[in-house]
Amino acid sequence: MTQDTQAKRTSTADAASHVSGSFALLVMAVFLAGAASLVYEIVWIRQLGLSLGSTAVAFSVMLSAFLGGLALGGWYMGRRSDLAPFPSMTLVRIEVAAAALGVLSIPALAVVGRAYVLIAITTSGDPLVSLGLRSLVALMVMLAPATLFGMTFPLATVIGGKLVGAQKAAGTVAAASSFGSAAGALLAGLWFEPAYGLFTSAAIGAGFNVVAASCALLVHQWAGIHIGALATASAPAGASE
Amino acid sequence: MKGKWLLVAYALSGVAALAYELAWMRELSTMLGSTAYASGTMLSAYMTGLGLGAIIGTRVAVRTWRPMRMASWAEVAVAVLSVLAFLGIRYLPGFYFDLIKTSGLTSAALFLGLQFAMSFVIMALPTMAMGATYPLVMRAVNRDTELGTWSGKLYAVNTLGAIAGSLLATFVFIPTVGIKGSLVIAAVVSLAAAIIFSALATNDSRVPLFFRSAEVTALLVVVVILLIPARTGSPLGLGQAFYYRSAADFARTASTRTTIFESEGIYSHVAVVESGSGMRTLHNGALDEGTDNDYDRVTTTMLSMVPAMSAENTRTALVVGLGTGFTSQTYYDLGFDRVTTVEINPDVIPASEYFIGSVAEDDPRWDIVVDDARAFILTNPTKYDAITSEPSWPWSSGVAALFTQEFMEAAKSRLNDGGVYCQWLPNYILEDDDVAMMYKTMRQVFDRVDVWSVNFPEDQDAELLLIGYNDVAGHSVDVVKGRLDRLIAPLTDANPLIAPQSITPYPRAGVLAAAVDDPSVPLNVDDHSTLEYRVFWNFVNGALSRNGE
Repeated sequence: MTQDTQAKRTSTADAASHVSGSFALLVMAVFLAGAASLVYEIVWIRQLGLSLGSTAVAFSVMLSAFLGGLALGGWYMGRRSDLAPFPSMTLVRIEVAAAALGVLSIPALAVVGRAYVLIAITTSGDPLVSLGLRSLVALMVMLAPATLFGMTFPLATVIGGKLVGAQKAAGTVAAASSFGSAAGALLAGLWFEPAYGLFTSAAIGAGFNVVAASCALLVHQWAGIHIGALATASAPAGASE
Repeated sequence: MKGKWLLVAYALSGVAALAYELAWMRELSTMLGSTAYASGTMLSAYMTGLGLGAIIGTRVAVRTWRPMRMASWAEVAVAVLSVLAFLGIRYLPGFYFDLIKTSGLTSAALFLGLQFAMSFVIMALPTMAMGATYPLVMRAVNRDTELGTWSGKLYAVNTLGAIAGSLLATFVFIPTVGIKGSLVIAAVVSLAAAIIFSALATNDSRVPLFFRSAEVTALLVVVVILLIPARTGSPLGLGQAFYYRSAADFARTASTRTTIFESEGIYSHVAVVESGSGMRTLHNGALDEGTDNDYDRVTTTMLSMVPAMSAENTRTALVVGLGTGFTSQTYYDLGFDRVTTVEINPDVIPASEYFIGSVAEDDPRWDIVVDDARAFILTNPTKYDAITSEPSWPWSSGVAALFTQEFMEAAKSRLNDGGVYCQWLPNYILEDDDVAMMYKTMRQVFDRVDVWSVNFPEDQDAELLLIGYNDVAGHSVDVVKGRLDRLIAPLTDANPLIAPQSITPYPRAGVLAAAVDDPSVPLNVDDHSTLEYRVFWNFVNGALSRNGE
């Protein structure tokens, strides 16, 4: 065995190890981001409900604002994630921004909730104005962070696709996101809120985002510069219907 | 063009997914209790199913050469398996009820684990089929250079579909055609998505076999769901664990009752049932929200009499929660110039007519507002001489917000000079520490708080009324008691329980006063509404301790 062959084998083994390690970290980042998003969703809807009320209309407005942000983020980042030179670094920035907005969200919700009450007192009685105000408040608070959450999905799919191939990446990212959401719902509903209250729960959610950002940063450092090269090597061939 | 139809189909999949989710969770909330714990476990079970489905879908996707057709089958599977979920929703509550009554669960983790398991058993199969769709569709798209574009688009349209599904299910499907009808509609939407996926999967100009089979499947699903009997009367759920030993015990009692009103509305299933003896009970989901029996009449009467006799003036009153309507009616009978009742659930209004008649709608002195009471008080500057807060049990999140310090502060800001605020507390599901916490919380807002016991002065089964005074000066407890006794005396003939001994100053007021300066006693505040969780565990422990009685 020549030194060149040995070096190539070592290099290939290192690359494979980096790829599998990076993909595991990516999956962890998506899981934590999913958990954080559900923690925020539960905390925000509860906190906003203190001002906007617990009616079905208020709940629907809040849920729609949150889901609307996710959809907007997914759509906006979809094509951009294909074109991003370093999508893993973009993911780092998004998770850090999500953490910052998550921490700020609770005081922001309290301030915006009070502002809503002050405005609503002067316009009380008109259901359409009330609906419009509630929608505006929910959108103001939730749209930006929820849009960031929505960006995670296509970005992670692209990074994963370049690491392990499109098919495995798409399903695994979706599964990690769902399992993360499941964990977030359990943790927020059964542990964080009952034990620590709303503000601390949101802060823990922000902590999840920070750890997710760290995972994404490691992905970038381990595999970021190789992702372009890996893309062609790992993409599966195949055609279908 | 194919891409657009693909997005349409995946959006329809999102519409159906949220319609199923909301319908299942509505029914599961009845079974498991409408609590933050139940919401967390149900949502988690739903998402776990999606995650497992994504794993299965990924494994299938990397092997199949017909991913679009497989996606179509996944959507058919969602519709077919939703029938199983509906059967589970219909028939598992009895099994769950008997399990918690006989298992002697003492661990919170085991109890919550069982709640998760029940949710998962019902939702697992259809949610797995839902979760499998995405990797199959992504495989069918098969464009590595546009991976982000397609995952973003699919994610976005599915989420937009979910928004539409949640709005339609909440405001259109469930209120108009009920849970069963909503599931039929969701199944049809799933099958519409399946048909589009199927059409996209074939280049054959003839109508493919699957196309026909999807239509047949659609018909079968609709027929099967329609054949499953609809629920009538009050449903069995955790709320009844306090009163019945077993599902059979509940069924026996239910068979002797007649449902005289029921409505499946935006919030819950509301029913009024009448027992063989003529007693009427108002049900909200699986919770008994009030009856016209003598004990409940004492409580509902005192909820207005005590604040009315404590306040300086008796012109205007606000009641939080209509329920049977007796509290508002008593304010009205006491001659208040205006009585405003805030009720979040519009279906409770026609139900209350089976207890108090149509007086609320007929008299301009009585105004019923359909709104969340907290939002109403915050955004309406009208002031009142007396405010009574008697919402439902504080273990659900929306209701818990009506027991916090911040809510009491808002209520105080709506009191006239000399006005009083009356807080109902269900002492029979509270520990002494909980009462101390609520007293301390109320004392943060009101400098003077009087506590009254209703029905059983020395007994844990009493209900408590906490009266907060806007001004410290006011009638003394003795004066209020004297006024109450004079007011009550003529009513005793009609209901012997409405008697002076049924309303007394709380015997352990000294203990409560000590709690105000005790730093170990927490406050019940918006950020951390401790009462909500304590009440739930008190209820569970109390209900389970009645095993074998």
